[in-house]
Amino acid sequence: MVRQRAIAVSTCLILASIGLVLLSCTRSQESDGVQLLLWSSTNPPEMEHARALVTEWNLAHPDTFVTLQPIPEGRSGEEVLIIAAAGGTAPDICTNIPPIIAPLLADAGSLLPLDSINGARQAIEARVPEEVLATFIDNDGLLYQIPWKGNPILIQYNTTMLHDAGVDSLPQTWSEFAIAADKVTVDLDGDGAIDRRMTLFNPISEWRQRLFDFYPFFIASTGGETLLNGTEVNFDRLETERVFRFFQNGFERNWFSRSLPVGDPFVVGEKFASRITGPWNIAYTERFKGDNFEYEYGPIPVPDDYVGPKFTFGDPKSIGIFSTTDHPDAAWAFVDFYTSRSADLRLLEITSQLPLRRDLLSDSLYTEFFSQNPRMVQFAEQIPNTRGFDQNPVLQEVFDAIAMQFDAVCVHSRRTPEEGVEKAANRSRTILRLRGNK
Amino acid sequence: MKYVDPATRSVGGLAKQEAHAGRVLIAPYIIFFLIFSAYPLIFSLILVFHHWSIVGPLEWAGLDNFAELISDELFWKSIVNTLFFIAIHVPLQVVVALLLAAILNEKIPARSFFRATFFLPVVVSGVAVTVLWKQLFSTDAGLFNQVLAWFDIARVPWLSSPEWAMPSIAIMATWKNVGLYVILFLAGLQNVPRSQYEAAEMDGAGWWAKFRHITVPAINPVVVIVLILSTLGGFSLFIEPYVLTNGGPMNSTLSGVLYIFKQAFGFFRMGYAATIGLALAVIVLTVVLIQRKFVERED
Repeated sequence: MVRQRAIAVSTCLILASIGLVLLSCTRSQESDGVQLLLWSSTNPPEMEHARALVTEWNLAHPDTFVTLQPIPEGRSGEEVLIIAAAGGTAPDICTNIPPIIAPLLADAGSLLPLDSINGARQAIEARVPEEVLATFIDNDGLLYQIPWKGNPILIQYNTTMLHDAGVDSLPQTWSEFAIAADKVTVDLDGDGAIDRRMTLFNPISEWRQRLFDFYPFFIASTGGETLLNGTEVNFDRLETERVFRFFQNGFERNWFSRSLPVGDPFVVGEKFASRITGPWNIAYTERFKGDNFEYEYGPIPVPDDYVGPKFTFGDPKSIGIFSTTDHPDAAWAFVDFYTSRSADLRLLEITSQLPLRRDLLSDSLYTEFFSQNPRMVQFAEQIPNTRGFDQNPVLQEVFDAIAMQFDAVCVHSRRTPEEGVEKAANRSRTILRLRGNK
Repeated sequence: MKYVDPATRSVGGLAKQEAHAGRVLIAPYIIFFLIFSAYPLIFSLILVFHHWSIVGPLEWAGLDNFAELISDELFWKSIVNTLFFIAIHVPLQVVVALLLAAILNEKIPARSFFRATFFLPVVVSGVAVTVLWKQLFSTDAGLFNQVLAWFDIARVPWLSSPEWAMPSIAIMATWKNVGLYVILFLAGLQNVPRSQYEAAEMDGAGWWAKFRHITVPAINPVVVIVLILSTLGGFSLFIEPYVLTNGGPMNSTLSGVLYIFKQAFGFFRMGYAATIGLALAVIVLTVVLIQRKFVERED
């Protein structure tokens, strides 16, 4: 019995060894061609999307083998990418580059200028809406990132709750929002605690959170302006003060909460009548909502005197080719495939995220998808009227300067909006003067 | 041939062998020290005179980082915040740890269980504990405010008010670390001669009188050690504000170490982060020297 077991174990070990040898042979065969390493976002739908495309590519291009890896774990994608670039461990291609760090990577020479690859810039210009592409071009006029996808930020309303509170239409302006918010916000059981509020924002002192409250409202109320104009501050203006005052009013009147509630207080808890979000949220809502939970998406409310198209923050993501790659042309060929019409259809179907493509709603290839997913149409229509990030390496610090004043002015009412905007602008000017004028 | 005394030869050989063995044995520590202490220290001293974003080359900055530090309101706020935290945390830590140790030194039921229980938070992951406390501190649905509501006490904005946030973090940090200091105090208490208590009892002293006049003076050296350790711990405050408040609200919980982290890994300003680190090290060194003087005087 013991002998038989020993033979079985030995056989397994021998087979495993043979397997390893064969595997190494396979790899050595693969290494004869071009090898590319691709990093993709770790979220499951994006990994599934990347896996499908990489498999298809490898089958069709045996001479250019792409290996897919999720972006290594870290506090943030920005941190991981910068450390990888510094340590010489960056991949050939990364599909989830936050455009806010692209200038830093570009300045350091870590990203390849796409203008250096034959045909790349023309292909990108043909795909991406002109006004969207403009926000991705570096201050030196070169393009270091491929604008890939966007998630226009809108407001998702629990219309059942709005109707219960006596609100029959989605707010379009700040006045309409205020009327609705006053109706919704209420202490239902009289214990002194607010049981129902208008909108869920995350008030934590972190500049990234300002991308989902201050920034969309700033873009909307200025008709598509961004924080900087080249290397000059562009937010020391009346509209910014008015946005600060809008939020200050909202926190004072308890439309918004000063502390982030536990769990999901919107879809599951139903403690808020609305939240600010992107199209990725549709699948989540459908999965977790209660039977009576009806919802719609509305634009970012604008000042009453605002006239013009409704803009918002586009929450874009880019694809970058790192300058350490040995095969820039092969890398571009793969990226071209990754952003092709059919790949973009898969992006829609698998991830519910929108490719930054100018013909998204007119191309017949996508017609069926949008007819089956009518909620996505509203987000797709918004794409041309989205704004991303100014291309400046100190933009995070500028956002941080604004976030500090948002905290003091809006969340805690310790300063006037005028003082807050002035302080944020002064700090930003200092930062730009010292480090942002490269 | 020259004559060599065998005795001398053997002693010299042994000394050489011992010296060689000593070098081999100490080598791992020396290598570890050079890689993980000396190199980072020297590199950070170089960094304070440079701008460096990790990805780019080092750029000479001269004294720019020091000039910025002196005029940086946030840096000074982070130092004041850290001292405020220490001012709440250290006395609270000493008092609570001492009281718990005194109770656990008595013959109470399930004493071993309680000793282990109080030590448990020390060994549990700081991040896990902090996430748990975040839920306890929640203004709307947190357990603390629910308990206060039973007594008709208004809800406290534990983490969302600039006034309450740092004291709340100090309470949490005290809970997390108190077990370690309870152990130290218990060790001290068990060295107090039993006869002193018995003599005091014969004189009619109660529990409080014995605690105040016998226990506290007898464990004074342990108190000093706890003071130094918890002060040093206070200066390294990071996980709690990072997870609970990210330094807010209104930078009221921005500690020195958290500010270093934000500058280094938030904005990739390694040179400036190293300068803050150097300044913080000087402040800590000053405090420790003052405390050391205090300890020597106590001795």
